[in-house]
Amino acid sequence: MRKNLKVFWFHFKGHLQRTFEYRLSLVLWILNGFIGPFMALAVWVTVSKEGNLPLSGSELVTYFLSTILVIRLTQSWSLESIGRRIKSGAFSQYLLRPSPYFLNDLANNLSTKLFRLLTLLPFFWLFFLIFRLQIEIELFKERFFLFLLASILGFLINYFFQNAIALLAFWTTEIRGIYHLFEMILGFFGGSVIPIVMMPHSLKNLMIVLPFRFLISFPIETFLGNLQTDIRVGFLIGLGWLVFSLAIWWILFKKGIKKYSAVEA
Amino acid sequence: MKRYLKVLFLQARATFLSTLEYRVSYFFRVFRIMLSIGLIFLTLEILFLKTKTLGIWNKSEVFLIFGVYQFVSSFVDFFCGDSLSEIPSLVRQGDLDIILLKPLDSQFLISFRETHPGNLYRIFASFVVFSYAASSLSEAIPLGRFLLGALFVGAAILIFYSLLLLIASASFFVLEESLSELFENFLSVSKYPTDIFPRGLRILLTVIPIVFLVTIPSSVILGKFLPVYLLGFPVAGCLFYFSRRCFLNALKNYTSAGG
Repeated sequence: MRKNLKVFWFHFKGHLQRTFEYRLSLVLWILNGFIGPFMALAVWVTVSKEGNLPLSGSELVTYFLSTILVIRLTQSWSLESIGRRIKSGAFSQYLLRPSPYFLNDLANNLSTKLFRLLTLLPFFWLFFLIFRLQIEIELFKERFFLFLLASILGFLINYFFQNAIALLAFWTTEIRGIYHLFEMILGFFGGSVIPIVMMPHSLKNLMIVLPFRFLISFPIETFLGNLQTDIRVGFLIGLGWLVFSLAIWWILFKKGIKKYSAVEA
Repeated sequence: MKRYLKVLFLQARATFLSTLEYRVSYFFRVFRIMLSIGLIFLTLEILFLKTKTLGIWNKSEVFLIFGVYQFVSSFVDFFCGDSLSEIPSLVRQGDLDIILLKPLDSQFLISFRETHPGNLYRIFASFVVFSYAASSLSEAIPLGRFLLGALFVGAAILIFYSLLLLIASASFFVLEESLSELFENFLSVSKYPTDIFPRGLRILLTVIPIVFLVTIPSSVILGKFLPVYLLGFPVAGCLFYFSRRCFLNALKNYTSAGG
């Protein structure tokens, strides 16, 4: 365990230095993340002028600004990197190492996330000034910790689901397509376009039991304190999905390496 | 001209044959196209549970706008596929050199290198959405107005292509796939009528002529024609000329990956 942590730390440092190398892609990444939420925000604000919605104008602004941050918090880049390694045969060298294959990738994810989120924060300060939002961010209060916990849970669910899909590359060339499908359903059930309180009753119930809510909606709900379910129930369902994704990932990994005979062997 | 059509046809056939090789992936893609349209449909339905109008547009009109968006974007995708957004990898791997050596117009060869025949389903689906929306309008669309609208859709397709070409020219210097990704994401803003956005953004969407892509053609079809919309045609022409200049200029500055 201690050895693995050390290996992780070395990878982490290495990847962190590499993120500094690609500054332009950092800027593009930041801008890209703004488009979807702002579009959804404009639509819902227009709607809120017509009918009476369960969320007020400033609540809508807060919600969609938070999605920018939370989508980035739970984001993972594993599918691309691991899928590519399996297809090209470069996966072999990660299997041969005396530490788990995903340590390098996890370090990459976390270091990139850390650096990029730090660059994102000033923008948020700007938004809060522009929209004159008055949210008391109660740092180091209970709600803030729950938010962090929910985000970490969301990231882990996403991370292991993506790893599981990436491992499908042992059998099929379709992993990008499968992931597109995942993203599409995430876009609908995650809460990035339709907040959960706007959903009609039956779809709301579906959204509560599906894993997609934990990537976007659930952390925001804990932060803003307008949970649709009891918070313990929410965390329990989330933990259930985490265990499920871990199990699938583990089974696919065990079966996959038996099947694997590196492409460029 | 005939030669170009023939090459276009051959390139389309080549991509079509290579997609047929992966049949599972082909059907899977068709399924995804249908699902994505279905989900947007559902999203709009949920939106209109809460309201009767989106700005100045009612439900049928918003669906019609969505149909026009689907048509314009899938039409361009049908012919261009990922050809333009893949320029950075063409440059990095040196494949661009082979294309430049061929005795046909380079812009033509690069733009239509990889067509997406699967988008035929999206074009078809856009007709379905369009006719569904048109039939639920309170009055039928007269033929003359529809044809005028079709002209505007033509201009919109030219503008869409020119914008993609402009970004492709920029990507020669940046060599970063995420640039096209960002821009395509930005273009998807056009699936909503531009008048729902705040004033600053609306001005931006008029300067980068995104308003001509979907909102104006739809307005014309819906009988909200204004003489100022006719600017769309010179804008399309100028933008095409300008983007071609930029693209050729970028090619002139290109020195092979190893150079």
